[in-house]
Amino acid sequence: MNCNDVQNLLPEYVGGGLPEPERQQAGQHLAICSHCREEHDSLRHVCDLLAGTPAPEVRVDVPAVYRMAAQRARRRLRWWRRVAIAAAAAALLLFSSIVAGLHIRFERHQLVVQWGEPPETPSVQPVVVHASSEKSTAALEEKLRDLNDLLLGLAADLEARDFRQQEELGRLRSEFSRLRSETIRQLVAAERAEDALLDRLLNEKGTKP
Amino acid sequence: MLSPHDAELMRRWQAGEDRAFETLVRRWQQPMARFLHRLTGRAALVPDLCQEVFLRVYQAGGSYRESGNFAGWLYRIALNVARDGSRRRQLTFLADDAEPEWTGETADATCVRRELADVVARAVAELPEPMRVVLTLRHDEGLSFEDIARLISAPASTVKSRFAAALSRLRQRLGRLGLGPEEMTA
Repeated sequence: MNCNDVQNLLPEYVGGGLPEPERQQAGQHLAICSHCREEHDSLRHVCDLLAGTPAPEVRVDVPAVYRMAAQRARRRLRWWRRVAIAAAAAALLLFSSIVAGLHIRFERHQLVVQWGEPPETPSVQPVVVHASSEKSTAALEEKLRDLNDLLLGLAADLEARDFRQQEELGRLRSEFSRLRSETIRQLVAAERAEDALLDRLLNEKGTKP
Repeated sequence: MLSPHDAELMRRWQAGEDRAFETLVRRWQQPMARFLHRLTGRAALVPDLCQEVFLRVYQAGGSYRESGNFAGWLYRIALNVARDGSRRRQLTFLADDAEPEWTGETADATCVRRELADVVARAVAELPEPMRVVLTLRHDEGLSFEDIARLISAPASTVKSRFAAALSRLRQRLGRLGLGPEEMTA
C-alpha cells in the first residue's frame, strides 16, 4: 500500500471498521511512514476527544410510557370516532339527496335544502334609495311616496289576483255541483227506466199461455 | 447465565410479558441517551427524547418483525425522534448547564474537563446532520458501516465517506479552537 491508499483508509482504520487483511497492511505502512503516522495520530486524537464527552445518565420512566401510550390510543380512537360520524352524516346526506330528490347547496352563507320546484316569485325590481345629505328632503319624500305607491299597487294587484282566483274557485265549485246533480238525476232516471223495462218483461211472460 | 437476546425479549414482550419490555428499556436507555445527546448536543432534552423513543417502541412493538436487527430498528426510531424534536424546537446548540458529578478530581481539572467536553460537543453539533448521525453510530454505538448503511438507507460507500468527512471536519474545527494534538500535548 502507498501513502495515498493508506490515507484513504485511515478513517476506517481509526474507526475500527477495516477488514483484517487491509488493517494489517495499513499498520505495516504506518510503522514506516511518519507522514501517514502523523495523519493517523491526529484522527486518533479526535476520536479520543469524542470519547471524553460523556452522555447524561438517564432512567426512563416506564409507567409514564404506559400512561402516555394509553392516552395517545384514546386520542386516536376519539379522532376516528369523529371521522366515522362525519362520514356517516355525509353518506346520509348523499343518500337523502339521491333517494328523496333533495338539492343541497350553499347559498349566500346559508345551507339551502330544496325539494321539488321552487314556487314562482314575481320579479321585483329593487328600489334603490340613495340617502345623501346633499339631496333635499322633498326629493326624498317623493321617492318614499313613489315607493309607497308601488307597494300599494303590488298589494292591490295581489288582492285582485286573489279575488279572481276566489271567483274562479266559486265558479268551479258551482259547476261541479251542477254536474253532480245532473249525474244523480240521470242515474235515477236510468234506474227507473230499468225497473219499468223489467216490469214489462215480467208482465209479458205472465200473459203468455 | 447469559442475558436474553434482544430478539428473545421482543418475542416475549409481544407474547404479553411486560417485564421483557422493561428489560429492553433498562438495557438500551443509556445507549439511546448517548446517541440522542450526540445528535442534539442538548443534554437537557435527552431525558424527554429518551422517553419519547421508548414510547414509540411501545406503540410500534406489535408490528415489529424480527429480522436480526433490533438495534437498527431502535436507532431508526431514535433518529426520527431527534429529527422531529429538532424540527419542533429548531434546536441550536447550548452549553450543557447540568451540575457535574463529583469524580474526586480538583475543581480546576473538573472545569477544564467540562469545558473541553462542551467544546467537543459543540463542534459535533455543528456538523451537518448526515455526518453527525454516521459519526455517532460508528464511533459511539459501534455499528458497522453496513448496519449504518441499512439503517439510513444509503450505500456503505456513502456511509464511509460521511464518516471520513466528519472526522476531517472535526479535526479542522478542533484544531482552530486550539485542541489539536500538538496544542494538547504542549
